[in-house]
Amino acid sequence: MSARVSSSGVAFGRRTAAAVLASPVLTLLVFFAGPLIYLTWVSFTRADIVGDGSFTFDNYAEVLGEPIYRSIFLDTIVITVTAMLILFLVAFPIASFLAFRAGKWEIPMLLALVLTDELNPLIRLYAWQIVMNKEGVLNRFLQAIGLIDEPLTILFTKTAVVVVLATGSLAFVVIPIYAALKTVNRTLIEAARDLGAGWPTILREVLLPLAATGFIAAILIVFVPMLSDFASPAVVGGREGYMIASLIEEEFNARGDWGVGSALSFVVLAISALMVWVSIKISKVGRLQA
Amino acid sequence: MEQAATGGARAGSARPVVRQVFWTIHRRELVTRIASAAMLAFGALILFGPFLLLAFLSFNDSQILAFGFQGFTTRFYEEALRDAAMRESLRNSLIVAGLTTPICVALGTLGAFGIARFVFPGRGLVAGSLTLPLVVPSLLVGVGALVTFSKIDVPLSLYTVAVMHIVVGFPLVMAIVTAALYRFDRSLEEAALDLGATRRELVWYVLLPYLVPALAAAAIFVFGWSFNSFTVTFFTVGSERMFTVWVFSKLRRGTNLPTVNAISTLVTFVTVVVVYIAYYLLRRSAVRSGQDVRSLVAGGPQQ
Amino acid sequence: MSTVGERDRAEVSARGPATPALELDRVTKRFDDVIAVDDVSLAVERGEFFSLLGPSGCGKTTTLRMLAGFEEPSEGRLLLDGVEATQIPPFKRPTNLVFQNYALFPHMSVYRNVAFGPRRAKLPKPEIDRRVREALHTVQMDALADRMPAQLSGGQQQRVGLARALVNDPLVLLLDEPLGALDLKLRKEMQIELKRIQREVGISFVYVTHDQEEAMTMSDRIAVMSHGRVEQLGTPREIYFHPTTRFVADFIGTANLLPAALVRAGKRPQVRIGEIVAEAGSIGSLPGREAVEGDPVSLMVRPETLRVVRERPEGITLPVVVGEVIFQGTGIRLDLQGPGKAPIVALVPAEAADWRPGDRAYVQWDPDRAHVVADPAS
Repeated sequence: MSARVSSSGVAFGRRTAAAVLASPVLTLLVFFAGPLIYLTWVSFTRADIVGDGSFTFDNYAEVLGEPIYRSIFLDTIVITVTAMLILFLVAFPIASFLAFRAGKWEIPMLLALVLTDELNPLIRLYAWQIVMNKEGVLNRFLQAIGLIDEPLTILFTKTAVVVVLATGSLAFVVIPIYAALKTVNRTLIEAARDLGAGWPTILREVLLPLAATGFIAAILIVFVPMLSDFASPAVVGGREGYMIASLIEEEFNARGDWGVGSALSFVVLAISALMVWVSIKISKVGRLQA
Repeated sequence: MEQAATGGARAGSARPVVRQVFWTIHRRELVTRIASAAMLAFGALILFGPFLLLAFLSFNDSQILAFGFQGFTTRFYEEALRDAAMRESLRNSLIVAGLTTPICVALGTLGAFGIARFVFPGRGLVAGSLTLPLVVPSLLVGVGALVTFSKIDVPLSLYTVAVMHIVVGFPLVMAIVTAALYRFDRSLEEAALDLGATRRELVWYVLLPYLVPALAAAAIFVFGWSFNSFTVTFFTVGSERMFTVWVFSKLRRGTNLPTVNAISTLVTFVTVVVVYIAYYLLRRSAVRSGQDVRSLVAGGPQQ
Repeated sequence: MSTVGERDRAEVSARGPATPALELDRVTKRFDDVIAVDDVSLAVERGEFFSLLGPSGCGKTTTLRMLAGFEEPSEGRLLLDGVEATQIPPFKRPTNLVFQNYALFPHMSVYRNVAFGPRRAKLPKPEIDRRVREALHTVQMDALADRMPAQLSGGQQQRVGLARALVNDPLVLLLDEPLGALDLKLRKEMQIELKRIQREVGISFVYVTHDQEEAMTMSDRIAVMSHGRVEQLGTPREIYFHPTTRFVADFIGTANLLPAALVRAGKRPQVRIGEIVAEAGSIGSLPGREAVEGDPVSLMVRPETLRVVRERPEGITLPVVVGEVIFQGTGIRLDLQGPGKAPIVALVPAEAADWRPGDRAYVQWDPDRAHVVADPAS
């Protein structure tokens, strides 16, 4: 029936709303907005060791002008986008298995996925280091089956960073896609099969469009953290797998150039926002065509 | 298998076309099965393999990286537990997480109520702002806190870490509780008011009991998040050791560290046990109050 | 409101106590620009089973929610037991609501659900226990007091919902399509059950439904609503046989509405259908002005009052052609075509003549059971 338009009987007063929201909003303003605003200020001042604290655009000029920085930006984007694409390729089949075929294993598998979120990411990094080491498990295995003669250099490459980023985020990509697919009515698939559609058609015409919201959610959840991760490149990236975040950490801790470090941070924020926006745009265009 | 047998027999008796069609369908089914099994095995391998490897190495009696079994030992565990720096880091991380969790639950629940239960001008703006800490890269939160604390001469300590954990942690709780509140059937509220409950009684006897599973899930998530957090911790901690930072400091060389294997395995094992116990408790209370445990697990935070 | 309804109300209050349990006085409810309830006045007597009946969007649920206190009237007054109650919040009203989706607290047992109201009223413990057990007994759920709602079937859950409301001994019990989610068979059982419980406890029920059969089965009086207004208020019998408007005639049961022109209003109204002039037993309200000869009206004849014969009978009769013959177990439904292809439905006994599509026939009706309604002014 119509009548849930208003619920004046249950609504609480405006003053209560202010009282309830006061402490979270205050916490946010003081400890989140405050530091970010100050960081913005720092990015516009001469704040390196010899700096005098006056207003300047130099930090941004340096960050956006220097070719070295630009190549690091590019590397960061390439690494992150590659990891994202690999994640989609691996996560989609797993998510659809979970949603449609797992049966009584659905909840245990879901729980296992959630568990990976609770496992310590630094321990995971450390373990991957051992896997990808020159004398590591992967090299030994490949040599044992005779695929290679000499151990490959995997650790301290871009590949290593991509692998570590992707494996660290797999659960967060599978779960939203699973949740989106779960809303697909099984009879929809059966109807498509009944109408003579093969699996490729069903995938293209039914499942992928319906899973689109899951893909977008996954991008929103994992893309930014991957882009701004600094533990992974620091532990398995070495010189080759250097990313913006490593650069920022260096500016703050080793060089003490807070101005440049802050400017770089906002470039990260800008790239994050841009990539998220682009992916949403693309998915929307794709859905309109479908 | 049974289907295959009867189908094959029937097909064999008469028409070869039918038989061919049947086997094509069956083979395709078999291929998808094998493919999905392989995909799952691969997923499990990359998700859990590295942790199992560490567990194996931690019991393997060898200082260097050796994959052949050199004999069972627990000496690395003994060494690890004697390591004062490690013990301090573990204790500090647990203290910070223990401090952070209740405050996050309180702030997050208040925020969720404010957003899901009130109508006021600018609600969308407030709701959006309160999720910002989950969207903005934690790198910015970390360095922002670093420069600000130094500017106002607050020395970095466990407290600065805890404060920044709270800032990012409570929106996490808020997301879970808001989702639960939106799932809550509003007619239950009307029923309570209709039966003479005041608003306070409504919150106390109807809304909070309903929220218990969601609050528990949120508490577990935020505790785990705080304990595992690296970036924010790294930039806001002073001279005290924190567990993730301690592990990080050991890692830059990329060699085998038997004591780190041991402590990592221990932490992983405890995490697994805690998560499973929490799940069973959650499921029990969720089932009792007629909620689907899946909505708590899969609808949870994904950051 | 109809004269019939008013006469009926006078009779009821002559029998019972003078103040009605509940009264709506010119109540209007607007949501922004939409008028959900439009100038409704009605009174529900003590111990009466009163139904608000109408299609979805007619304002019946909004009316009920105003009675419960979840919506505030934009205009008009609400009186409970003769006392102004428009501003009283839901938790202080002597009304209780039974929800369509049951709205049982999922984390409480059946017993604790029912005890919720008495506990809020701070009754002494033994009194709470006595009342809860009595209420559960009334709805025959004593045995399942310790179950959780998730362990109950839909019908059982609604019984608990009923007990939870009844236990507070409300002045008026409000029911919002409480049987809507149940399957047909269970719904029929529960209708009888509800009526029994209502008689037993003697509380006024205000029952919202879109199912006219359900309203007929249970109600003492029915208010038929459409577009936020009360179209007709009366006993099921009055509404069925003497609908005041074409909408009511059409909405309640199956009605043959033969297009006609008014010849004469008054006690024995007459209408002209094509060549013939037919007499009817009664006439509904004629909106706005005095009835004039030639006004467009419809002659309403219920299918079960029609006689279908092969030979042209004496008196007023219409020639028809048989369209469809549908066997319905209890009888045969004939879809006929009257003059000008007007569709006419007749319900005849199963053992009646062997009709076939295409047969020519004549229909005849008892003038006393024919009724005239005005066509909406266009």
